[in-house]
Amino acid sequence: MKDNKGFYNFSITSFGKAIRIFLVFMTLSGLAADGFAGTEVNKKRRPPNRKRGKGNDREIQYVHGDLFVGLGVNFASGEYFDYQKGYYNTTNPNFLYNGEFTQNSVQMNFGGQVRINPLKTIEGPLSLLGVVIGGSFLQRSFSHKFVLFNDAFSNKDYNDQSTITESFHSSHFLGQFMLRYGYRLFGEVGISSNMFLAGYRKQDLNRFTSGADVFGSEFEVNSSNNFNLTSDVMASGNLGWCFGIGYQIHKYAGIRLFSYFDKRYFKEEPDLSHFQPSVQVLVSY
Amino acid sequence: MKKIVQSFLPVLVFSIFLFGCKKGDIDLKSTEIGIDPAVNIDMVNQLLQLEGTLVVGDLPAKRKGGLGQIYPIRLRDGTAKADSVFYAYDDSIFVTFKIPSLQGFYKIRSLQFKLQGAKAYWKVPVINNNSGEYAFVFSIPRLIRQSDLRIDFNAEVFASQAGRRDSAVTDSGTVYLKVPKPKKCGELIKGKAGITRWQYILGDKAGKAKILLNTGGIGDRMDARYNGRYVVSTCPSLLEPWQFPKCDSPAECFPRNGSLFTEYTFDYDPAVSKTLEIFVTGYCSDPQTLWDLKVECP
Repeated sequence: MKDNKGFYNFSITSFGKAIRIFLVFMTLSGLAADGFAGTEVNKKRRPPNRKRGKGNDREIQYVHGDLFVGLGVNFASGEYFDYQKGYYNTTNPNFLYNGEFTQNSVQMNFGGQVRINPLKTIEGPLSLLGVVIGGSFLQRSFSHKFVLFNDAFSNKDYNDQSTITESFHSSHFLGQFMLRYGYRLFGEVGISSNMFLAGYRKQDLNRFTSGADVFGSEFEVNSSNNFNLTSDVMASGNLGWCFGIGYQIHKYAGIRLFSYFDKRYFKEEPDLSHFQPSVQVLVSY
Repeated sequence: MKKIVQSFLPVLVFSIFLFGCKKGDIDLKSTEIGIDPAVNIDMVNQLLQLEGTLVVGDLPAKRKGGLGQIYPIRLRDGTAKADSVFYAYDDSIFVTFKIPSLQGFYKIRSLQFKLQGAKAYWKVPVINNNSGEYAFVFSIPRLIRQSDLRIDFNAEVFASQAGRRDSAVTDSGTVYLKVPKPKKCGELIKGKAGITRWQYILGDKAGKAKILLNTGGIGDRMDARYNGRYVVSTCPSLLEPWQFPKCDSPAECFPRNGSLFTEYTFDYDPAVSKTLEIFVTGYCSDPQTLWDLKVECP
């Protein structure tokens, strides 16, 4: 949905829309493999000197579909972390800042793809070359714990510490186009395009004072706020790389190590890169 | 195919339920670090750095029999409104105030203040408890995004006379916290009576930096703080890092130089810090005082 500035705003509603698009995509890929492709693309290999109905006719399947689900690690890196670390410096000798980043998190991803092997009937290594078009849902996140220790009362029994934990969580739909080589053991490499769906930034504060010299009384406060990440700040439509290596255990099942790499996260600098390797289980048809 | 889609659907729905994004109340317009006062004033209030205790609730209202007017002593510059204080990240903000009707056996017990819109207030001990000019000090950490803020405050006073136990709460006053735009080398600043605080961002060259002050016919006080320490003052002695100039400073802190610029120098090193803070205390007893100041980089 476009807002009045012309930006696309992805809310939960549009997130649902994206999921519907994904389901339509899955249905079409299924049709391609099962129905449409079965009649239009699949051919029968028959020696030219043989008449129809004679010889060792067998169906050649040019198009396959895969559904996959996996568990991956999201590694975030880039200047945004240095930018945040820049806040540890202060001219106030009483303030001690430090922080801690969690740049990787375990995330689930899932999706589907269509594989086309147009050269399957050609003799030789080229018969193993294919094209893969797919889409997947994945998430990215990282967090930063920012601690401020106020040492102004170092000559007293007075402890004052504030901790802010900021975390970013976002969901993305990733379209991917790859070249694939191999059948049982296969490798894939290609490009991906990231579509930001929805996300949020969470800020948690914990502040406490303690000690015998505390003025009034000791206290502890905890508060939390969520903010929506929107396409105003999040990059969308940017290109990335994807690559994988896998093994087709069975006609209907496989396993692969699959990775995405994307250099854009925010619209503006300083920005982040994401590298997301994952182990996926494939259901093929 | 139908079977595959049907079997996949529950996984999809479950995943969205499990991993779907939460929805916040406010759309984020920037990836800038820190707490934004425009959308989360309560958390900003909770993060103020000071010696005090945080109490949930509204600022206590004036109690019956309480004392009257309380107001901040004007800290001003050429642009800010009266009753406003300039501030910068991590700096101590020093708000001086008066309670004209506070006399006799009443003494101040604590000051209470909060950022307007916050759900809790701070109760803090008061500095200068024995003079007619009181102050409270706090800092805004750089975890908070800089923007103009407004503070409401009042004081709790008590009767110090033997046999009396009554206490009272004064009226409330307001002070504005403003973000000044730092000056560059060579830029002139002008001011009048009261305490003015400015920041200068100096250049990339190390060496002797100059502060040029013209007090005019009425003497004014000037103090400069660099890298957390006072490096220059018109007073015979420098302030401690945690101290701030006051209106009621000794007369020797307010030298006159007619219409000439007096030069003060200090060692500047951009590798240590590029920010210089200047406090000019225009002679508070005479509102006619005027002064000019500029800083020259090495």
